[in-house]
Amino acid sequence: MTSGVVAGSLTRGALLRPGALMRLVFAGLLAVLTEAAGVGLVGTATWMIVRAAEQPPLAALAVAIAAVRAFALLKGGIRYAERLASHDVVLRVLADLRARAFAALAARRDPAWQSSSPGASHADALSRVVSDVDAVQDLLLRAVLPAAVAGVVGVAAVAGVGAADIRAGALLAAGLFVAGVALPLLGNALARTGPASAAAIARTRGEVAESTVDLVHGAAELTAFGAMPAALAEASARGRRLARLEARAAAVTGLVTGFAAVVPAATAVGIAALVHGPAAPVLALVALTVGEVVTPLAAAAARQSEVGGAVQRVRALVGDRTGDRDDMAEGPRRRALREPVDVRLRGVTVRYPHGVRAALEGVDLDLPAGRRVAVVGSSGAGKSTLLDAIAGRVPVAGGRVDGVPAGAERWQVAGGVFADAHVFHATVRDNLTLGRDGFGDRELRRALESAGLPEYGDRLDELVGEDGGRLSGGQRQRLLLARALVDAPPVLLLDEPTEGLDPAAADAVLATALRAAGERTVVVVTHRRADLARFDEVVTVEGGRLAGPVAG
Amino acid sequence: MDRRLLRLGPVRRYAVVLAGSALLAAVLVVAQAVSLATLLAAAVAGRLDRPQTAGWLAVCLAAVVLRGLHAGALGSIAGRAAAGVKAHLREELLDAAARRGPAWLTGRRAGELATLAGRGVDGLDGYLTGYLPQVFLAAFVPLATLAWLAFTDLTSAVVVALTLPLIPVFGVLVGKVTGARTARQWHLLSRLGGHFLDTVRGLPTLRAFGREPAYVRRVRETAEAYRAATMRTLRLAFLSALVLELVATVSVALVAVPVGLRLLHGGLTLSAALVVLLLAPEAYLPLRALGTKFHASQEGLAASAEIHAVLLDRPSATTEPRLPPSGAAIALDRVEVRYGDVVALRDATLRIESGDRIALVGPSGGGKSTLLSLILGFTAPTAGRVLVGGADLAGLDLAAWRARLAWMPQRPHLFAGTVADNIRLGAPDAPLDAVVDAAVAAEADGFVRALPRGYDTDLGAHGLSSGQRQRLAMARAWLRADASVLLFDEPTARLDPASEAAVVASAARLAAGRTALLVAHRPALLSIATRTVTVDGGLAELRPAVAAQ
Repeated sequence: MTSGVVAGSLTRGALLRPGALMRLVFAGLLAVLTEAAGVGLVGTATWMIVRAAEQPPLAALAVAIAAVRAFALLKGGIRYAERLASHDVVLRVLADLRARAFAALAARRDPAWQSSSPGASHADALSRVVSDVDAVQDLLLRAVLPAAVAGVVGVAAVAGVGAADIRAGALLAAGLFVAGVALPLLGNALARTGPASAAAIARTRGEVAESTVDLVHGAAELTAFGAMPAALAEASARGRRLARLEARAAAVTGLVTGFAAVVPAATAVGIAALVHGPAAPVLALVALTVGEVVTPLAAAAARQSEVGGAVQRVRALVGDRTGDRDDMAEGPRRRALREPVDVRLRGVTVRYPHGVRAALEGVDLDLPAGRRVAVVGSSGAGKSTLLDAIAGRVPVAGGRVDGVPAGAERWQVAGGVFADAHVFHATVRDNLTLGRDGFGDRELRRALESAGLPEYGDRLDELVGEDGGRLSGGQRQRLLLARALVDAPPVLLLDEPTEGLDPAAADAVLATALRAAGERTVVVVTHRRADLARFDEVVTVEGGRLAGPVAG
Repeated sequence: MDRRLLRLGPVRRYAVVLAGSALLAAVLVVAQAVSLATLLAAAVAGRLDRPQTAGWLAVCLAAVVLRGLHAGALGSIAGRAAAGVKAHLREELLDAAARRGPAWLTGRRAGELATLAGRGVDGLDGYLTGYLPQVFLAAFVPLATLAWLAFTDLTSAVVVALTLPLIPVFGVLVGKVTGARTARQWHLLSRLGGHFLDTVRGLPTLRAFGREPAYVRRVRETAEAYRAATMRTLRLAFLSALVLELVATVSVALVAVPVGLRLLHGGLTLSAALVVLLLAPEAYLPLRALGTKFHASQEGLAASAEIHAVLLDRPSATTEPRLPPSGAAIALDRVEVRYGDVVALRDATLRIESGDRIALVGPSGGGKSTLLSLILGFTAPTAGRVLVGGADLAGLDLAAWRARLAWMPQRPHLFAGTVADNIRLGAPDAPLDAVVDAAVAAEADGFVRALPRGYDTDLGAHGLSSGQRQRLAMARAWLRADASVLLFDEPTARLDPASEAAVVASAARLAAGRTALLVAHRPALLSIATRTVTVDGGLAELRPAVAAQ
């Protein structure tokens, strides 16, 4: 059965831990009991009625009557327990997979996962990990568990019905095979192939999203250049194409659903025609009830057609090492270095995987302790990459960065605000400490004040919204700066720390940041010429090379 | 139910189809149950070979096959209708956004609208393919079943009729009790649920602070907290399903046991008893399913409310706009622009003669971009008038007016598509020769040819630097050869000296013989201007400066 194959692949790659598997089996057993109670309710009720028609003494029905009432109560009660158990185990699996996937991502050292590289869809790759893990959860709850339950209930029912009447058993087995195996396989195959495959729909949906994003973010250009009607028409054409594909996919699902719906009733009719005597209604209604456990599988298989890829990607991510990756040693709680450090770049070259040319080429830069350097140049010239190279956030393809004391990690030497800095959907405090212990409110307030955000000193436990959505652009920037100042390393790197601030505020923030930096080395990327006078040295990055120092 | 959604043309037609289909479903449910019960009674009595039974067998098979066809067709129709409605709503949303114009679509609203048109509209699937069909089934099937039950066995029909209303009553009651608590947990749940994505997105930042090992435990703890909170919610939410299922199963038992007892005393035929046994559950099923599908439709309904909020107060087209007069002279007549409480421009008066090249200087936030936005027709003055050739811009055909403008924003948006198509933005039919000429004039040809596929390079997959983006935007302006007014908004603000020189040189050539408004900070661009005007902060005082004229 398909479910067996999927379940096997789930356990083989160590996607599920043994404990989770046990809980899953328990939830499955509860589900089997629920369905058994349903079959029992229908079976005993029918038997009671058929027997009653023979007008036996009332005592002959007493057990059946009690059983009907008991099954009626049991079914609802067990169902409740089963739904809680299955959701609980799936959420446990989700928690486990999330932690292990994150540990695996955190441990990865290949450059594509490390830092933002222009053009490469790094953020997309990360987001896909999240949706892949969610897809595994969905697969477990909506396909694997129901399929396993249907399998057990089906086999038991075939055995029971077959014991009563071999022809009825054979008919039921055939019906269950069609509805539970053949039709799901067909639905799955149809959803994978053809012009309306799930992959084609996902692609078209991506095109629709692209049109939408272009249309709303480029609305000013489209309007000014009179291109809005054409853009609307294009978006509409893409939307209609998506609608056609979705309609076709719905027709495929409808086809298998329709066939699946016929099977249980047809089996019941077949039993009614084949079997004579009082067993006929009981067997037919049992077949009908069991069939309805199996029929949803066909549509589920069609819907889950694309999930195989997600399962494989998650397994590749978390399954290459089977140890308790989530307990990845945190090591001693280390802080940034306190002592001054002289850093020196010699012939540093950085290449991104898909870049046409090197992002940085043969860069020499001396950063003696306490030096203040401004980096200017157009965006894309390599300024942010220069900071990344100093901080060790990108692999250096050529040359070297000297000056990191033995035993120290690079982040302990150089760090700050980078171009891809993320504000977490958490409290101000969490965003400042990033979970680092040992920073009291006083230290956090001092960092906020230095960054020009004193108003949040008393609001440390306030949530900042998704990606700092509740902050203004300027506040977001200052929060990032404050985070860098909480435990500032000897080389403080700031990528456009005053972006989004008005000129007066930008001056004030930069001045306080430089004052807070004290004796540290500071490297600041800036576009503002007014800033340059504050620095010992101004270097211009041009096409990945240092275009020579400009007098400050 | 969402009335605004039901008023949509495609939804209304779909609802009519659903009503008909539910009526058919009701007939088929009764036909299948009655014929199957009759067949089974015949099988018990061993009377299967009678011709009468063959007739019932045919009826039963027909009902079974028709129910299958009906289920398949309903799924197909529902999917098609939902796809059509979603496409329709997306079109309407984008159309409404386009009508409101770029000034409305600034900042976070653009992202919110994109999300609404994407995930938001997709969320309607649960409502359209699940809940709406079920509403009609729940209306017709229980009634048809009850009617036939009453005809077969009045006592059973009374029991079903009395217990059936318990399902909606309990459903609403339990929903009321749990709904408030669920709503309170909703924010917590969505934040905990989104934590993983948030943390994964922040991984580069965590790495920069050496914090990624600590966050492994945090991810696990938060996912555990999410599980605990979700389970608290589900314990309540599943309670409603439990109550509804109990009502249904206990009611079936309530019907079945007395039927058995009456059979015992010969008060009922086996055939009638089997009809009751088969039909009674069918009465409860649609109502229970309605409860389940109601929950799945809630997300879509929330999105629907937002969608209609955007669609409803969409500005209606003004009365027959006039073509702008041919003269290119532009004037601001005591214009005021307010954004809420903030006054961006006040009492601004300016005359721009044909051929004037005016540099706009002043502090950021002083209203320079607002001034360009007024002339582009993106922003309407809250007081005063913008005059074009003596006519008020408010009454003119803006598309025709904008055809005379070439605009270069501070941060040009590049569209998914080729370099050539991006340059063609204002002249979609321009041949490649003209595109290349424009790129050469904008000093963009060099770097474009160095791209992997030259003018065919897809910009969706290939990033460009600010300088390169500005030069593509300049090429757009060059390709609008018949534009008589140039509007440049700090095109060199973020550029390195080499790019700046290239853009300024190109701008100077393009501006020759045209009217131009140049927002500028740097001296290089100011050299093109014939006049300089200071746009000064919140004061919005406009003062023609004495400049080389």
